[in-house]
Amino acid sequence: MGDFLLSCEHIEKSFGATRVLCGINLHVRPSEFITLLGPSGCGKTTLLRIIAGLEYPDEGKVILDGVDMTPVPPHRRSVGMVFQNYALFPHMNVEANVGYSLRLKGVPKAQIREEVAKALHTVALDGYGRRLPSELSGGQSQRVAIARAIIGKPRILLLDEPLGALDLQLRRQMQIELKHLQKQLSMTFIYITHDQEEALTMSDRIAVMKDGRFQQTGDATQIYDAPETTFVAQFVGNANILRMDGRTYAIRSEYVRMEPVSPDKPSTGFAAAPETAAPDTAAAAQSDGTTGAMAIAALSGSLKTGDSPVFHTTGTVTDKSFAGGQLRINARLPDGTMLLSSRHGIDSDLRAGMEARVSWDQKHMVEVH
Amino acid sequence: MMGRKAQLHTSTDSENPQAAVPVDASGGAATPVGAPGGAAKPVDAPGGAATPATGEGHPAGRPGAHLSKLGAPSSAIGAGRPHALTRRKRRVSMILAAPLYIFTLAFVVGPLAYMVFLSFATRDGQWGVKAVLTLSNYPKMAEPIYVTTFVNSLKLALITTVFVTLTGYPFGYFMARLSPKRKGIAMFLLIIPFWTSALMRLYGWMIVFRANGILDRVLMALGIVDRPLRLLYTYPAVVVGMVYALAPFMIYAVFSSAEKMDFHLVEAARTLGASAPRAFFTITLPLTMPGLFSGVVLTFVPSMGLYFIADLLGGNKVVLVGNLIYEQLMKVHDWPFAAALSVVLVILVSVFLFAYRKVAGSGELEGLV
Ligand SMILES: Nc1ncnc2c1ncn2[C@@H]1O[C@H](COP(=O)(O)OP(=O)(O)OP(=O)(O)O)[C@@H](O)[C@H]1O
Ligand SMILES: [Mg+2]
Repeated sequence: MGDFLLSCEHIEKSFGATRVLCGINLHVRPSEFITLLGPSGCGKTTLLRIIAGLEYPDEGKVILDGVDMTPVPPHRRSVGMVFQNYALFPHMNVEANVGYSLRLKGVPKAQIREEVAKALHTVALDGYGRRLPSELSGGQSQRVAIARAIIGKPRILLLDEPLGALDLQLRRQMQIELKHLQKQLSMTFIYITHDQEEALTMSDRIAVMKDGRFQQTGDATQIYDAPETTFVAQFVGNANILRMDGRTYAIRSEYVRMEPVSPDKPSTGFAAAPETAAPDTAAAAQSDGTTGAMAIAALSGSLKTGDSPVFHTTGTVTDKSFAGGQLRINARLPDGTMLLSSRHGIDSDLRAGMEARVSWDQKHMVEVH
Repeated sequence: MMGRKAQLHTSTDSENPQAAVPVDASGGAATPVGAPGGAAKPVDAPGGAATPATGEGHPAGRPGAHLSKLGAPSSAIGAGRPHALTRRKRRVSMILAAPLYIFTLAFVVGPLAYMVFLSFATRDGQWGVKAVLTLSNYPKMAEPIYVTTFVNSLKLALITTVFVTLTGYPFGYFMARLSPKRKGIAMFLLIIPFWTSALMRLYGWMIVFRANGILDRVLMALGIVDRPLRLLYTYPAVVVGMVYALAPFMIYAVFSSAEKMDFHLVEAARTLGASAPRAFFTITLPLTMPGLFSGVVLTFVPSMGLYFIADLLGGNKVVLVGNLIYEQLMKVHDWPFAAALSVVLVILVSVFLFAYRKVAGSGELEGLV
């Protein structure tokens, strides 16, 4: 326990009849960059506000450095926060905004000026001190908000979708800068986003949230390559979900191959019944009673390259699109399951309505629940 | 294209004689949702429209007080447009504004000039006025009873303003923080009294304050006092009546100012180390100052002239300038002296409004403009 800077223990929070947070446990180490990732309305902001003291939990504790902070008001927590809409004080110029917390502490003027200049330099805004917030661009406002939050050296900095309002290019650039800043200050960051790519590139650890609960906590590799739940697999990895043999598996679209069915090989040939499958994989290939007759044949890896067994079946192509340098093909399997295949490239011979031969390696299947 | 359009808007707007609005308001005829608000509203809107056109990307939650500031530079740019276009625009806007000028001339400037003229005329017989110019109406005011009346009026206006501020500011502020639905209800409740005549409501107060009236009976029943207070025809009764009559203007002015404020600013201040009172004085108060200022104007100015409240609730114990003018007009029939008193009152109020403009930085009245 001692090595955690912040511990949220069993946090419960409801607004009226809506239960927003259900037993959240979060432990953050010093200098860690932890991201809360989840869809809109899952309670990310509420959790952050509870950590900051802007909202009080119905149950549970917020422990900072071994001290129970639950009843402590926000101004005595030393927890900084960067708001999504920046929340710069419109009646103060940049310098006054950034120096606000030092002025409250009664730091001498000369020292404030010095520290403000330093903080503005950190966020590459030298010489912007005299501007009003209304005279700044979105990216500049964001930097001022960050400078204002870090100048008082809070023990934790909370960032609520700080880049949400920026365009993609600026966003990418700020991601790198923020990560760099966090390393440089070795400050603990708790970062909110609903952009999975942002979470994967920036975080030491990610907590995936859904409906007020943590679904999975782990580093980028764990979350991306070894999702534990259907939700994590879909939300983080955009994975396909397959139900086979009463179990649920996730398989990411780049591992699914789709090719046109050659006319000389009847498609039924691949929809082999479970009995004809190789004995060692027969169990896995049994059709799932709950989703109807799923006809997926598992053949020994010797038929294909590699040593992992290969599953294959047929499906009807429903649509084909090209996005972000990737070709994406959707196919409907005989039992109705939709499967997405993606690969680099411009086009394939497959067209909507065609029968496709669908296959993937068993080693890419991850069991989820 | 967009940019030009926005600039044209602002350039025409800068010529709108919006100065007429505060003058109208000083007549005390304005209701919280009165016509001046509706007429002058477009002043704000083009300022907001011009903002995206300049491509500065302002944060969303910016108090409206700054819209007018932003509007100013863009209309300055507009001044640099081809002359023919600007001139034609100006001519069009002058024609469009003509009714306003005519109205102002007929109902504000005309009567005012007549009043000034009357104040230098001589009294003639029972009702009449001779066109013999004299200065004697003014020195007459130096007599102690008249000076005392002016001082009393100022004192009551000041006391009223203080109490209206103390009650109306928190009321307006918390009203702005209600949920949209409750806000509507509160607004409705605030407006309801205006559906009955002010006189009727005053009679209501008389019933409450009367010796052995509702107030006395309730207080005695609760054992708070053992003898009737007999508040009717006392100074406190007048103050209560004045505060009651004028508080809605303050409430509405503060409300509209506080509603534009982004409450995240206060939360940001709290996370930066400000206690609740510190956050109020450094963030909330400065940002709602425009509303507070116009509330003060909307309270102080009419309270100089609300003679019938002093008359009905104060008996003949509280004599104000308004009562004096009324008496000189309707009982003594000394029209020139009544006019002279009015001129002095108008000058006093103008001095106050001028001071307000100096302090507030602009003549705009929050809640009305
Ligand atoms: N003050 C409040 N009163 C009532 N309900 C609230 C309040 N604040 C949040 N909620 C509700 O709590 C739930 C979680 O809100 P929260 O703002 O934490 O979501 P979020 O994960 O931050 O979403 P987003 O990504 O859209 O910002 C939502 O259903 C929201 O409507
Ligand atoms: Mg949120």
